[in-house]
Amino acid sequence: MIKIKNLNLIFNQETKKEFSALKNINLKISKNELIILKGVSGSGKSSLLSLISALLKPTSGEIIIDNRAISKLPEHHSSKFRAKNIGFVFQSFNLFDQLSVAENISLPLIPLGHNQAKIDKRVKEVMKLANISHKASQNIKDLSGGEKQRCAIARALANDPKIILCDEPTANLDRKNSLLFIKLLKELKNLQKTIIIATHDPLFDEVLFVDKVINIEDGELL
Amino acid sequence: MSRVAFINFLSLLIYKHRSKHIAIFCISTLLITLLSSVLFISSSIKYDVFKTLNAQPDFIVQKIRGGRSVDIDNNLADKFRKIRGISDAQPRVFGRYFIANQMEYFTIVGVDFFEEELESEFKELFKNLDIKRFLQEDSMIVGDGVKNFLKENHYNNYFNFKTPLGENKKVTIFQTLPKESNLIGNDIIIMDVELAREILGVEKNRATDIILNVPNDAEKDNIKFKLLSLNYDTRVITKEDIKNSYEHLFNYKGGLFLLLFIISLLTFMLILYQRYSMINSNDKREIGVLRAVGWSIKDVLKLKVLESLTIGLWAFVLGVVLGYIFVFVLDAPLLRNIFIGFNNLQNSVSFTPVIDFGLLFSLFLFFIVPFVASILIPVWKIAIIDPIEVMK
Amino acid sequence: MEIFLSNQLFIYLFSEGILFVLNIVALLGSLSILKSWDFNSTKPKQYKLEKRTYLIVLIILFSLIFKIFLLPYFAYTIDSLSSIVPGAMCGAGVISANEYGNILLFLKIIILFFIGIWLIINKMDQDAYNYPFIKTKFWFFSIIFVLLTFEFVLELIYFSNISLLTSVKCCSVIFGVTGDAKIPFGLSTVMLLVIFYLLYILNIVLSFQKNSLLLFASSLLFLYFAYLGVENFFGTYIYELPTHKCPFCMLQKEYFYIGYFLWGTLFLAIFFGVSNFVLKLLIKVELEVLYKYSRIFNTIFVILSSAYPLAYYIKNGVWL
Repeated sequence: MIKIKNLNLIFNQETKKEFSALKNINLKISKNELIILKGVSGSGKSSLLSLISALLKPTSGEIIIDNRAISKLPEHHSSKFRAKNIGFVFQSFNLFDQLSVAENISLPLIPLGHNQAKIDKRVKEVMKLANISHKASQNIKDLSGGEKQRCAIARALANDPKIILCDEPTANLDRKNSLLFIKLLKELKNLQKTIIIATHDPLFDEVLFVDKVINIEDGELL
Repeated sequence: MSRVAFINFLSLLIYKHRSKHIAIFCISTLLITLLSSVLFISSSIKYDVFKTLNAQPDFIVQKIRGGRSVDIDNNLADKFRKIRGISDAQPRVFGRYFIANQMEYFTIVGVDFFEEELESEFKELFKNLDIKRFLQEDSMIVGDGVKNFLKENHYNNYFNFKTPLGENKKVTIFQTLPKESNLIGNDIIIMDVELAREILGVEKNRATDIILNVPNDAEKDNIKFKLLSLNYDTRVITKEDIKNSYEHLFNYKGGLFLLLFIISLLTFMLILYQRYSMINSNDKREIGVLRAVGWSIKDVLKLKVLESLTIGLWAFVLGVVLGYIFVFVLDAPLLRNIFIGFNNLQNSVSFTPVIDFGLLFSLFLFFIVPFVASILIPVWKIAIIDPIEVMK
Repeated sequence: MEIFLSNQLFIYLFSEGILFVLNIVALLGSLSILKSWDFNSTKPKQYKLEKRTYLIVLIILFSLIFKIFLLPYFAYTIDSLSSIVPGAMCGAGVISANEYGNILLFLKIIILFFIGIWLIINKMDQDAYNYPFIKTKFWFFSIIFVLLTFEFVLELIYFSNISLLTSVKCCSVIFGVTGDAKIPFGLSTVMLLVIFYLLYILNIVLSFQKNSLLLFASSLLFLYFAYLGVENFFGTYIYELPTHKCPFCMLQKEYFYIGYFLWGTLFLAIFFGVSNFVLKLLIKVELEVLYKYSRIFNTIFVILSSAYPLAYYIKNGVWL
């Protein structure tokens, strides 16, 4: 469902700090695959995820998701695409500290124009999935690392996306919570989601239900 | 946008950024309180003055010699009454009586209590007046400012006037004018017309001026022409002329104030622009997260514009309320002197609450247009921040 | 010069001035986009331009909102000036104080109209996937900006030429106080009303047929005859005086500001009636929903204006 053709990304074009983050990437990812994007920091993993979620626009090349070219969409269209189809889990969680768990999770749903009742229902559903319902009204700053992670996952699932992208999801977790995270991944795969995880955590080497491991180095796929 | 969730999030964001907003809120409120106070005072005074003016006669005829007004012949009043269109003509006796230091004065108004067609503004006043007792001895009705002045100078029940012929005239204080009339009546003394003639030195068959009433508006221009052609040495002042000059005066004072106020407003705009342009890394991350979870630039713009607008609107409401209280409840200490003026006797007028929709709308426009103009560009700069920051 | 110290005028011109400066910013942005826009480019400059469009649209959107408020405020300012302009009893006298007044009013309405069209084009441009109308959009804005400049300069000229010393004509003179007001083409009141209602029906029919060209022409005709109708017939029922034929006095408080609603709905009716033809000219597209709105506002306007004479007849059993 994700087709990437001849993708190039150059930062700071036409300046002295010009830097090629991604070089000639060609990639095909099928529906419901769990992909591990492996590479060290700076190898271009995050940039690739940004491009797939339409947060960035490529310098050249194409990204086609579900037969739709998203690389050159005007910003309001790419945002709508992202709001409907992408769920993101960040390395540092990126949650709003002063808001509660439920409020954080509802954020992706606001621009979609659902009424309040629908939002509340959906938030309850994903909190259950991520096993964080008992912390619904608690402020983020009172949560543990693992709980924050589960909240971030719940937020990523709120809009029922087809694609879930995770950028170093276990970097700030201990082993116990990392394993819990991997367990959750299995459930997500069962929900027919396409999952791409950018990580260099060796824990993922032992995961059995991974469909593909893609190695990336210096902006190129190996 | 789902309204409730959005409003919830908006309020939380405002609360979270309250340190950024509080300074703007306070300055806005202060500016609006000042502006609304001035506009309230000026419209209140205007209202009172025009209410009084409406009771004024349509025409005032004066005799002019050497460019100055001199006493006019009483008989002209009869002549005027015969002109078609003029409903009545009445001679008036009044003038200024300078006191002590020659810098302050009373306005003495002579009233002929037996004249049938009394000026309407006096009719109310004399409804409850015991005229017989008033005329038994030399008496006067004084305005509030006169009463206070006399008290300060130890004249509690009477005052000794000096006539132009050198005589002393003792006049008893019969009554004080109600405080509501302070705007016009502060320095007024009302007495019998013959007594006024004595004190002001106006001869028996003369008057200070003659007032006329012309009920039919369409005839006014005609009659003004007729009057001027009857006597070459008269000046005719119409009610419209007086209204006009007051309008000009108010405009002038109001306009000057607004001009000066603009300087504060422009400074405020700069402060607004600067304050909302300051984006720290936390703010950047916030916006980045929102964009990453699917908010478009338009959505963020909406959020940020509403955030600032909410602060501005609440400041406006609070400022107007404070202005109202300041002017109509506290009688605007300090500020009132700019309008009532330090000239002549101290005036303790109370402002009549007058608000109209046009005034509030003017206030609103004057504030909200510069406010919004100042925040548009900073808000846009925030909204277009690249969400890549959050990836780190 | 003293006229500029009038509170309302001062606030009005200040607001217009700020809006004008904002629009200069929008113009500069538009020009940079017209110069360098290349949708297929992936260079950072292009993305910067795409982001810039958001600022320009934001400014124009607020300009429209404020201009919509400033037009009735303009009427209010003119009305309040009538107390210091000798001879004027309502806004009509002030507007005709010199030759610039009516042109200014006309220009303001045209500008509102154009900004409305611009926003429709903008929405269609943004809904598409490749900004198909972007150059047209910003060329069009440049023209609007020229009109805005004219408007601002004209305002300054108009107001500074209002004499506070010479008398102006009052609306009763301007619009004819003697019962036999001269309706153009020598039409009688009845004929005028017949044309008025017929044109209304024509507007409705044409909008159902989605004929943009004919609806354009019919709407403009309707504008003319509606104005005459309100001035000579419907207005007299608002004032309940057969000789009071002034389009401005109905904006005042005494008549519950009905003038704003009346002229407002007429403006919207004409706007939606004419817009599809203009859109077709500019971007070769038309929107069905605009036909619907033209029907709605045409009807509201006709109902509003007919309500007054009908109410009078029902209450009094006779016509004026």
